[in-house]
Amino acid sequence: MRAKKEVSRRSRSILVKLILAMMLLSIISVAIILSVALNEQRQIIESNLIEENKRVTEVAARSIEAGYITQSLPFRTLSQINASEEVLFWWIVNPEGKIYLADNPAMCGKRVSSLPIEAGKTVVKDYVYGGEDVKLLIQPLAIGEPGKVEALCIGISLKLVREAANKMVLNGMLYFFAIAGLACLLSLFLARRFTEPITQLVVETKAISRGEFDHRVAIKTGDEIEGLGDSFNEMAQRVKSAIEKERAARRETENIMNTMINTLILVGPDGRIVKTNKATLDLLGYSVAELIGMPFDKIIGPRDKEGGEIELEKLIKEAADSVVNFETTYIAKDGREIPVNFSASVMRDEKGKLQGLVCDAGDITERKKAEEERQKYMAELERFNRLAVGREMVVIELKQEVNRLSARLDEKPPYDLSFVDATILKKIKDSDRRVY
Amino acid sequence: MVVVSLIVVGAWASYAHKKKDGGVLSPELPEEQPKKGMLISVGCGWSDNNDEGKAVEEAVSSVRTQLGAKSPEFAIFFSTVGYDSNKVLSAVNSLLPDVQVYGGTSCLAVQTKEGFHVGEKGSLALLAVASKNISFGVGGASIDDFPSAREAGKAAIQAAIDAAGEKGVPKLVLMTGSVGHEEELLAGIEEEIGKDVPVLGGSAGDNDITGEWKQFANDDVYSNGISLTAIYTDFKIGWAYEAGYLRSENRGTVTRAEGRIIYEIDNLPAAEVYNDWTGGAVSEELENGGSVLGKATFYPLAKIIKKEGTEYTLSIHPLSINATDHSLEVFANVEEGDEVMLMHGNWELLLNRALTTPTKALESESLSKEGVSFGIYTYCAGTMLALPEDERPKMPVLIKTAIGDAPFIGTFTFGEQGHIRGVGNVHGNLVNSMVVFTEKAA
Repeated sequence: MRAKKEVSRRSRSILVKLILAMMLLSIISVAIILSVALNEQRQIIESNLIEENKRVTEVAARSIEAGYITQSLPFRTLSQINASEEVLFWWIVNPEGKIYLADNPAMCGKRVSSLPIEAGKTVVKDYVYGGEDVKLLIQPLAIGEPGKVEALCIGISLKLVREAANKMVLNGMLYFFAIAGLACLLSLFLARRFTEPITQLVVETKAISRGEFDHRVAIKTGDEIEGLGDSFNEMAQRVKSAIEKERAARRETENIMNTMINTLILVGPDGRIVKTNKATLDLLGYSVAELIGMPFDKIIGPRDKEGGEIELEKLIKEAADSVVNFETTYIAKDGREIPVNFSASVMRDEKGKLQGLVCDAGDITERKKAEEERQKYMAELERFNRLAVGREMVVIELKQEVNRLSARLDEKPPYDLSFVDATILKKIKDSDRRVY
Repeated sequence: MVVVSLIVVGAWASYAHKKKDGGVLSPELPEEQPKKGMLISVGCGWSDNNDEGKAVEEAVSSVRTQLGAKSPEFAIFFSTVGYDSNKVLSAVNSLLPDVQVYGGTSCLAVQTKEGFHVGEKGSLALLAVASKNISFGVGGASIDDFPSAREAGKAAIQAAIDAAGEKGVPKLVLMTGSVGHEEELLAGIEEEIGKDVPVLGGSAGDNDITGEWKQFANDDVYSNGISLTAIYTDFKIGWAYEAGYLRSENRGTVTRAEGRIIYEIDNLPAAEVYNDWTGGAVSEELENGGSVLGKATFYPLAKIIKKEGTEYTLSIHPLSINATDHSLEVFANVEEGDEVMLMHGNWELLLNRALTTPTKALESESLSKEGVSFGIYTYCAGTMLALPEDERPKMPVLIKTAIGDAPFIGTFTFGEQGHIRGVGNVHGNLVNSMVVFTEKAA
């Protein structure tokens, strides 16, 4: 249950992160696109406004020039221009920059600084009028004294541009929020679609980690995730097979261990018994639970620790040695000392790190008894042999003596003693010394 | 979200911010002071203060400031009827003792080179002159005190000449008359000084043609009178008197008229003829009768005056139509046999007169605007009212364009008097006139 919750929490976290990332990306994209589009649109509107009013200014200028000749200034035209919401004012300025005629007579007599008047060309200049940013269109007039250019200045309000821009921004914001909302929903949908297989993978991986190797994912996204799902299923199948093989191998090993006549004890690096086989339990009389974890020292070696003691600690510490066919004893649960033929070898992992000792021991109680019997028998036999051999040696010695005497007599030795070599002669002498 | 906010705000900021390299307007140019040691010194002031006394004080104060130590001998004073005429004239006389005052009431506004002045209650303008080279004589008369307007005119010009203390006929006469008597008054004046002396001016106006107009002559205020100024000088005085309308092909002969009512033109009812000529502009009034004053501003009639092969036009403003007999009342006397023509125009044309007429005034005596000492501008109130309200303030600007920075005083009148060379002095409507004074010897 807890694991399920954990999986759910993590998948939610991925989902949330993904949604946030997609939303952020969408919102940033939309914001940038809208910002650029709005700016472009504003510039277009402003440019159109200026171009349109440039033409108006030119027409007005031509009317003024015509009216100058007939002394009839085009006030109606100028009034119509002034009635336009875009036009804030108009001035007629002399070459010194002094306004001498204006829509607002109060402006007459004032001077305009930095007024770029260029013959034959309408100049557009940014201007501040009454605290408002305006575009000043400066149209030269072919009136007045020759060589001195007067100008018609028309102030164009950017209020409409601003209003249009504000409206666009407002609409843009509405679009922005609508698109952002849509992007959120889409992000949610896509993120869910994207994370669903991942969530499934996580759940199934957890199941497999719990040992439920029959779990498989069914992802049909047609993309890399589906590939990942397939790989996962393949991997799960392989893991299952591998584990089954391992289990089989383990079972086989255990079977082998338990079938072994010899005892087998696996001792950990700390000197405690890690694993054992049935023969050990049978021999020592312990149960598995009793034996596992028990210090190996407790069951190995003679009680008096004199002779037959293996240097287990040294073996473990140095981990560089092994013991083969060493006769010692195991101490059974009931305290009996059981002679065993002990072999041990150091077990290392692939990196060479000590993992423990594998101790193999065979019960040699019967062999020991048989040996004792044999030794008794051998002693008897030797004693008898010594008696028999001694007499034979005496005979051989006598024959040798006869042969030596015959030789002294230059007679042919009567006894063939060629089978007697130096060893036998030495034994004869020795047995002679022991027997006699 | 922070990132998004920054992006949005950043985009908005970059979008909204644009660097400006705008120029600036310099402070208004300082008022030019009159040049010292000139032969003609002029002071001009105006006010639209609601208090008559303070208004006059303000105007007189400006005058004194400009005149400095000079004492004026003569003042032209125009005021709207919003002020009590007696109070303001009394105040002027009080503040400018021993100064002859000529003037009258103006319709709605007065103007100076400083602007078109319309007050909440009223407005007034005062122009005072100090010059040993010009003799001014102000004379006035109440028509009611004489058997006829002609006699009143005659008496007034005699008084003016006497006040000037000069002998012979004046060089020019300024006139502020009374509506309905202009021709008679002119006849009386001409009886004294002949037809060759230009008489320029206008009939005093009020705000709504209710007869509140007044004429000022020194300390006299007339309701139905005349105020004249006889001017003697060796300096050139330029002047122009014109209507400035465009002629049309429509013309006819008055076949029946009486005083200021035209009954028939070419033996047809005058109003019907006028309506035909204007393309049905007064059809409604033809049927129901009533004032055509506003519409007729752009379609005046003009008396055709022929003299030595030259055809002059004297515009006449149609006032109303009588629905019963389809007669046409006008603002000037018309006689049987007078040839009349339909004129036409628009407000632009009427506004441009503020430029063309002063220019012509200069041209009349080959004067330059730099030499102008002061000017007197008379503009028909009807044409002023025909201008869009926000265009009216351009008049003084145009006048300044024509005559430069010289001070001038302007009034809006109900009929204008002027001179046609070789014909004499006439009374017309919808006309404007400009008189400019210089130090240039004749």
